[in-house]
Amino acid sequence: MKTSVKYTLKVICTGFIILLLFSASIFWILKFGQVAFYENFVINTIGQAKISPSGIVSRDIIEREPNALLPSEVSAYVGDSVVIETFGLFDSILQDWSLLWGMQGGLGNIYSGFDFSRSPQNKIVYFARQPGLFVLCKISYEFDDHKKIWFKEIELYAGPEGVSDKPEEKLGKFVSPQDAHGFYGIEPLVVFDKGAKQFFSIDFENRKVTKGIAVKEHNIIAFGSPSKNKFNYFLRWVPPLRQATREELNDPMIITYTREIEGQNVRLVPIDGFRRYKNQPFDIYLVLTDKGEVFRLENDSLGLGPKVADLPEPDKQLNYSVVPVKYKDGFIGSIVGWVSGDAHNVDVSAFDEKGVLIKEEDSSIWRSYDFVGGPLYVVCRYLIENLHSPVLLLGSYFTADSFEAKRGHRNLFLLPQSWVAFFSRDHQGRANPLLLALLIMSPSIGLSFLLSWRVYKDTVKTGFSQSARRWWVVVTIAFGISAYITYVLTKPKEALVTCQNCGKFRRPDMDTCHRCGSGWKVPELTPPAWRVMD
Amino acid sequence: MLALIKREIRDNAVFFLLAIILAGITNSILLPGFAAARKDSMPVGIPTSMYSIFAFIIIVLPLLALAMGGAQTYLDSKKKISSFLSTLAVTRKQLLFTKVIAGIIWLIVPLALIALADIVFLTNYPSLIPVEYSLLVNMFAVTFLCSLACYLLGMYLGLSQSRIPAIIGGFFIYIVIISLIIIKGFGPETMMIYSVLSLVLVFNFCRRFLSISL
Repeated sequence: MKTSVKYTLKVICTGFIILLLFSASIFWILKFGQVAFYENFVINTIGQAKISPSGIVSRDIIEREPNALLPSEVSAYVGDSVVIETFGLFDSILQDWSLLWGMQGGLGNIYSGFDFSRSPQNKIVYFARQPGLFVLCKISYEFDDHKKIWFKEIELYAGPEGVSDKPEEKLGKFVSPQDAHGFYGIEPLVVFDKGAKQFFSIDFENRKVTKGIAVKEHNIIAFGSPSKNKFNYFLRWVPPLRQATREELNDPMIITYTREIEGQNVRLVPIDGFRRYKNQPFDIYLVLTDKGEVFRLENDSLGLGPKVADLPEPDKQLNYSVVPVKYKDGFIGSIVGWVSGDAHNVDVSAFDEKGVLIKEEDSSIWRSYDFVGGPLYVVCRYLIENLHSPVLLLGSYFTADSFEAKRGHRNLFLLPQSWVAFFSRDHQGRANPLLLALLIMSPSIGLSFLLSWRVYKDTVKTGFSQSARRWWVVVTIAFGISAYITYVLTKPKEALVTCQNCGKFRRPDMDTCHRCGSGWKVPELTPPAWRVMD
Repeated sequence: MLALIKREIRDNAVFFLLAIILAGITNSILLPGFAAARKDSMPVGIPTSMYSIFAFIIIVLPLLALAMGGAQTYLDSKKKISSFLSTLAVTRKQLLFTKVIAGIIWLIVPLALIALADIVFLTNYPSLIPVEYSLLVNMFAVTFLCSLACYLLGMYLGLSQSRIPAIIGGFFIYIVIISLIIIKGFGPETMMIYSVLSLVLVFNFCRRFLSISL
């Protein structure tokens, strides 16, 4: 049987549909298992790391405060929706909510706080894509017949070249401001323009824009207190604490901590010099590069200062956060925390102001047999991953490091979080990680060979040509169950009849038997040996 | 050709009515939400209701599309409509294009009505700060492509001889198709997957429709 182009297209189209549906089904089974087991059991136990005392606060600071009851502490923990947070739907919505609601601190395009419960008039700074300028405007409202009528009055425009009350060309244009931090009325707005690779400081009060030195040698990914996927990840710095006074307990603006000391819950506050008030802005900006280097931004020159911390491969971590630590007006160190790409490790580090690592702590890699149902979960996950196509599992091995951590969790075809990909990333110098990966995926390969043997037998029976048979065997070995299902759905559905010559099944739509090559024997059509002669 | 499209729309008038009712329900949920959002708080950005309404649309519209596609081809073969039309000066390809175009029109109607309502609201009650409409536009695009894929799937399954397995199978595939939005979100990746899926489904349906006996 010659395979037509239409048949080939039919197979490709059906194969794509089957592969998509099958991969999506495997994805959901794995995800369900991950949420049911990992998020309900493992995270609650290992999803945290802590350093206490942090080592950032020097001895003489502690000695100056004789009432300090507890040392400083750095802790990080993961919320119980860390896996669900990786879904693309969550991502899509969060990205735009940030744009819309202008969270102070740079994700949105509104860069100042506003509180209309305290005043009917507020000033707001936002970024206008057209004309590529930051805009300061006054927003107010009035009541008209119990209905609020809002008014907006633009006051100033700020571009890279200056500030003006009109959007003039001489102000220039911000190419692609990636991040911005500031609090209008309290401190200037500091902006990083990715297109220009420069920092800018916009002071609307004094109508001044300060340009920083171009940062061409580093690829900056975030600044301020850089973080990624922070909704289910919490990195916390707690300074040394002392007992709170009665006035402090009654002040709602002071940060208080409740700790158990000698069996009693005690309300504590930070010792003097450390941040005590809520909503107190920071003016220390840390800059994170794609290589994981953390620099301090020099506020005067707006250039990169010395390196102050390290974060291993930001792209490969599922969550991270970098926070500067301030004592009085000085920078004394920083804390860095991250969750590994597979969400199995939570790490936290403390650095001093020179970027020297003081302490590091990580949650131990969890062992399945420590948890109820753990071994069963591991075995089931292994078997289900091996239902995937061998070629895609092999692709997962080779592309294990190619995906950003969060995106890797929502891949359908290539699985960077599979066991196979794990051995690609973490072979620890083993001689043949590829051989080990092939061993890991041997059930998948074995299943594919079994299915390809069945397909071969059926193609012989069905009457496929030699080249078509070869293609089907190769494709089934490569794509496993998906290819087998595609074959079953697309093979010609002719009812086979018995060949009178060889006795095997043959196709009635073909002139010759594809097994023995004989034609059709139709006795009634065979002329008799005798003739009637007139 | 236009006559054929009109006939197709008339034959599936129930579904077109359902689509308009769906748009009406959506807009009736949208309007109070929008009004409430703009009542007291500062008019900034796009109100939540314009996004949250998609939680309803993305489930109902593709399901209706699947049902319509299946009903269209099943009733067509049961009542021998295409068989009759093919005796007239109408080719099978024309019949095919008619069905697909009618389906696309059906999909556009409710989405266009909802989009129109959004545009009217946002024009009359604009945001004080310029907004990004990209997520909203993406949501419309993904909903349309998802529904198109489900519609073409319905048409393909409608040609099946056995009804019950086709309905059960179709429902299972519909759930998997919808779940792709949860996995991948409202982005270009999702649009690409749905576009390719629609292309392969339309090819499979064309191949089948052009070769079966009417």
